[in-house]
Formats: sequence, C-alpha cells, structure tokens
Amino acid sequence: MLPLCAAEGVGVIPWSPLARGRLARPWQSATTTRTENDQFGKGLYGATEEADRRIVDRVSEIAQSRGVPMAQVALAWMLSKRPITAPIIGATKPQHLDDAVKALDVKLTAEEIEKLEEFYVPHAIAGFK
Amino acid sequence: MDFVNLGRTGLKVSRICLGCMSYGDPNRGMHSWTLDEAASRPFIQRALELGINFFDTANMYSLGSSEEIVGRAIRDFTKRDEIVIATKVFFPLNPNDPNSGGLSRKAILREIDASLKRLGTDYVDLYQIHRLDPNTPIEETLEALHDVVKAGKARYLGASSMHAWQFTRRSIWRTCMAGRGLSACSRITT
Repeated sequence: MLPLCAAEGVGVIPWSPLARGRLARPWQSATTTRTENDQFGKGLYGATEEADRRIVDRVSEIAQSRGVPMAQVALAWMLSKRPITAPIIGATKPQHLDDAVKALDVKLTAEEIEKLEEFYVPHAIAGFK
Repeated sequence: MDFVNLGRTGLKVSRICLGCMSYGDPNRGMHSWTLDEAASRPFIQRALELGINFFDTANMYSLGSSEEIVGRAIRDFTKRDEIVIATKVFFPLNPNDPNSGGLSRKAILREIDASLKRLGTDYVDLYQIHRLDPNTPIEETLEALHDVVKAGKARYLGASSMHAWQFTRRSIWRTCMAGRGLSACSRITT
C-alpha cells in the first residue's frame, strides 16, 4: 500500500500509530481504561505479541538514551517514513498532545532506525477483511 | 507546527492529525473508554494551541457523538474555515435499518447530510470511506462520492483500511472521471 500511495501521490494518515499505547510505555507495565476495554484493539495486536515486545523494548532503549518519552521515538520513526503525511494520534491525557508535537523535532539516526526495525516481522492484516 | 500537502492535493495539513475517536459520549456506541464532552474539549483546545489544524472523526464514533463534540469545539474555539475536518462513512448507525451503513448511493447521500448536521458545518474537508462495501458496486459508491464533492459538501475524498489492489481501482476511477481523486489513505495494510 505504501509504495502505491507514494507512486500515485496519495497522502497517508495512519491510524493507531502507537498501537493503542503499546509503543508508549514499557511492555505491559501498566493497564489503562482502554487496555482493559478496547475490544477492537485486542483484535488488532493480540496475535503478534512476542515479536512486538522486542520492538517495544528497542523503543524504550532509544527513548532512555535520548532522555525522551517512548511515544516521541515511535512517532518520530513514523514521521521519518515516506509517504506518511500525518499520523492520527489519540489524546486522552495531557502529555499525549505535547509528545506528539515534540516528536516532530526528534530526528532519528540511521542506526536508531535500523535498531527499531531489526525485529519487525510482517503482521497479518487486522482491522478489516 | 509543520504543514505538508495531503498527497498531491493543494490542501495543507499539520503533520499531526488529532484522532477524535477518543471523544464521545461513553454511553453511546461501542467504546466505553471515551471521554465525555466536558473532558474532551480541553484536548481539542490544546491541539489548536499547538497548531494542529487536522481533526479526524467518523459518523459511527460513539454513534455520532464524536462529530457533535468536535463540531461544537471547533465552532467555539476557532474559525471553521481554518480547520481541516475529516470524517468517514460506512458503519451502520441504526442496526434496524437495512439501508443504514454501507456505501450505497442512498447511504452516502444520507450520511453526509447527517454528519454535516452533527458537525454544524456546510462541508467537510476530507470524506473517507471507512471500509469497502462488498455489497455495493464500486461505480455506484464512487459516483455518489463524486456528487458529494460536486455538491460542495466535501472538498476531498479518502479511503480507509482496504487492500492495495482494491485501492488501485479507485485510482482508475480518478483517471477516467478527471474529477476529485482520492487524496488520503488512512491505514497501512502491509
């Protein structure tokens, strides 16, 4: 889909860019009203937890070394990718909006991007059939 | 805030889009975790202060409550013409009505008017099909969307959550109709 959108000049506005908060905190370190009650979210991310955990750990490492929240690292990664126009972020706590905007100033190095992507495995399509 | 063109259109949007599924009456629809109107409004206000001009909602979020909250906040806190409002159509709001939901001509023309009423505006900037409707011919859907744009009720069109091969069929339509092409795609499917 992404090469198609790049070739055709179609903007891309990804939903759930922080994977329902999974990329914004250490793995299963906290539950929220939403982690408990978002049935749709469980269907999106339940199948790839082992692979995803290693990526969340990497986000955490890079966030710690830079001294910024994990959400900023995860969004900075997405913002660095062509042809992403704008991630659709959710904000239900005050820091969510500020983290999203501050992510625009976080420029990841090639080495950091490589570390974030090292453990990625293709995910089955989720959210539609 | 950084602003970029939405695809090859001339429309400028902030590089952060505020997703408004989080805002809606928790007693309406499928999401019990949403913030009610009083709790939601400070987030919309803060987003505007940060320079965000791009707000995404859908007709089905909290059964229309999200659109109502977003519409009122934009009216109260800013100038509507300076804001890019995106909403969506597909999921049914009335499960007892067989013509509620889907992407038939009847459904699209009814739902755009219902969204405009809830949002309290004359037009939306980006009108997106929330999913593909396998039970409606794509030509019917695309012509209805084209008519929505020609009627001045939407500025641009978009599509969410489908396979790339399905999405390319819309590109063919863009070429053939020389009209308003799809300008946004809101789900990575790889």
